[in-house]
Amino acid sequence: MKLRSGSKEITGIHLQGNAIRIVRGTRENGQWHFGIRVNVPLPEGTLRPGFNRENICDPEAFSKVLEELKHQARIDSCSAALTLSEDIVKVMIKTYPQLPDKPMEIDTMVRWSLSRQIRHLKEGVNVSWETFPSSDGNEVLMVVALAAKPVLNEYVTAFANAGIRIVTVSPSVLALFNVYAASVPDTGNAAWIGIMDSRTSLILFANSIPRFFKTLRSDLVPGDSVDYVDMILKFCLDENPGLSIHGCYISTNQGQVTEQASKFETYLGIPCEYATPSRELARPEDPDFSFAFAPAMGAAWSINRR
Amino acid sequence: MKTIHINLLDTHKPSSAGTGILIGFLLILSTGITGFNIYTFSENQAMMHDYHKRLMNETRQLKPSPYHFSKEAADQVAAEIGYANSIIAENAFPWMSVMNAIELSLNPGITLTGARFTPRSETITLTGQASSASPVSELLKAIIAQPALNINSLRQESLPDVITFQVDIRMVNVYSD
Repeated sequence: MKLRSGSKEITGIHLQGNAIRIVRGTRENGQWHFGIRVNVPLPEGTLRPGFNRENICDPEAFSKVLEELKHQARIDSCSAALTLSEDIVKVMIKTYPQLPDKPMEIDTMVRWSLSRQIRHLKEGVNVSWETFPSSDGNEVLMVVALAAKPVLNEYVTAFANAGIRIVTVSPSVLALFNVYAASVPDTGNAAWIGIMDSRTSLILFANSIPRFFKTLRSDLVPGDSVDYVDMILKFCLDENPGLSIHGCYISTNQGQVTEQASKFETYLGIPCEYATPSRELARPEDPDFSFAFAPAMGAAWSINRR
Repeated sequence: MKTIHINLLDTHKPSSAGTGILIGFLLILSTGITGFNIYTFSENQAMMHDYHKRLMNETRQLKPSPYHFSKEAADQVAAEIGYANSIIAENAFPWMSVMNAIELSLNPGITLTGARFTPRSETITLTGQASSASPVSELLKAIIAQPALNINSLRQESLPDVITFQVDIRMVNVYSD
């Protein structure tokens, strides 16, 4: 995707349960360089990330963290893209035979199909999606994300009080995927696997149409990332019997990539390679790139593509 | 592979750009209407001013009336007209009073079959039918009770089922009011 020349500086924030990461980037020679990358740990008990509950347990401590974040990132006030973990934002893939023309009607249809998941959310839910029509035109697949309105308001208000205007909110797994999307081939059945500190996620594409999504918290069962990937892949194959995966594209910390790729290939019996970031972002070997900040970079990058 | 764009702050309501365009259109429309109204108002004002100016000029050009009336003379003319009207009224036959008097004299059981008015002799001849003698008697009493009517004569014929009658009535004081 070509970038439009937009604002001179873009900001992305990745919120995890134990830390907030912020990046600020500028475009130089056709590439985005995120020279400012700040990680501020959250004091224990400050946040309790969840889909349908109060998330900011200690607003004062959270406010102090944001002030520290701004101070270290040399920010007074700014607009930023926020990416939240899958504890807060739910992501799923839905299939529909066809879609109405108007976005409002699509919204109604999606909400109706999600009514079982969202009926207990009395104060409302925000829903966002991206559509992928199948090549034969018989169905439309949608990547759907939803978040409880009060939870979103909690974060947006807290950042606004600190002088940071949140302009987009996206799931961190998709923000991370967007950074590496260019590495995943458009043809065949390709699995993208994102291994972050807290989660391992998988998106399966069939000829560039997302068919399956699963994310797994890393602290649920003992084991390393290979075990988690194996678990998710087996789940994926159980859900899609007869499916053959042609290749796995893994996004993970660069230090572990070479070792892990061969380990995955041997263990899973599927060709594996590690994904590389988009050419429009600084290369992994560049000191301006850091995998830990990739979700924040992906979120920031999305501002320019709105 | 294409990237996936999700923004949970964009709730798929009509876009702000669309809303902006709509507001802009309405602003332009209202400005246009206001401008047109101001233009029309100023046009009307100019036209009114023109009419007023022409009217003033034409008023100045009018020749003075050759007749001069004093207030006393005008009052005298009004009094003369009132007197003439009263003479006309005195000589007019008071149809309404007479008709009202006859109508008041009629009672149930009476059917009028004819009425002939002779203003010169100031008489009215009523012919009719009654189911019995009693309603005719009531009619005569009612006519006598009317100050404007007197009975000159009565002819009555009793048939097996009905009584026919003819009453000649003379009008009195018909020009008094």
